[in-house]
Amino acid sequence: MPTGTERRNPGTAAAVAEQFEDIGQQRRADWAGMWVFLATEMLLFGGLFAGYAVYRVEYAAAFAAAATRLDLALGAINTGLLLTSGLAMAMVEPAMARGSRRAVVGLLVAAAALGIAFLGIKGVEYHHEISKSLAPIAGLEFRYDGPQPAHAQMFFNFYFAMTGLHALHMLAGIGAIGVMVALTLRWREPARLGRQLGLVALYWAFVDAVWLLLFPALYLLRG
Amino acid sequence: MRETTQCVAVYAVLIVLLLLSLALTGLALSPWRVAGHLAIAAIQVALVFAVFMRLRSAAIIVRVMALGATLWLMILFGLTLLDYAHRGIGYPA
Repeated sequence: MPTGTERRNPGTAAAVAEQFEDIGQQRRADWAGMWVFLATEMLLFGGLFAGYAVYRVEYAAAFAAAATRLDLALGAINTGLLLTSGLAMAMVEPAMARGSRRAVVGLLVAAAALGIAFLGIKGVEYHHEISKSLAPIAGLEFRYDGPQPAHAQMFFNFYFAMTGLHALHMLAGIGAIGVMVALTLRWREPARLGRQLGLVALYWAFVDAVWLLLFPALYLLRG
Repeated sequence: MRETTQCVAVYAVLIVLLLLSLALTGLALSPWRVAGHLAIAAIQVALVFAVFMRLRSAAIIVRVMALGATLWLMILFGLTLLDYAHRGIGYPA
């Protein structure tokens, strides 16, 4: 029994989902829906950023001083890695349009590898902070010899909460990229694959954008 | 090929902006420097949204969703900071 979609677009029943008129509408719905999800993510991180902003204004001097304890060099390198990762991910769609399976896989692997490098460096930073007793997390002792230690502790709470949540998002993204590498190697239904890659690329770029705000907020507002 | 070149060009701009923001840390901390850091970050995010996330060429419905997300985020920030900005005026802290 031909569906409404099949009658309007003969031969495309397999490609276009039942509820859509044509593939263009389906793609617009995919992307609009993805952005609704990203909106919830923006508000999730937004809540943490808003809280941080209030404390940053309230305890300005203490936060500025505490920020100097973060490793600016490692943070900057991490930002560079993520930007490069974002570039690799952004080039997936054009590569897919060319039908180049090899390029797509290469770019996906590069994006994931750079993401893993980012997490590695983040781990090194966390290790430094924990060994210097600057990590008021999981019941660990917090020892701070600068001004207003109680306020500085708040800074480090925000630092671990925000970068930790971001790192979790990175992990999920790397997992998604891994799945896409596997699907791309199989190369079944390239049209569908292309749509899925576009959505994963959106998510990865978003995680990149969040870091572009995290880095200045935590590392650069130092004094 | 043009799209790839655009992505690389935007990437170059993002790196330059990153270096600029890093250079700013050499100055003494002031409201201007804070504004500078935040402005650079905002431009970087706008570029990622417009080019890497292809909002520039997206359908209207997609752009409306992205705009809505940003607006709601601004409401969160605006009302929260507005509240705290007015504490201490006639009310106990």
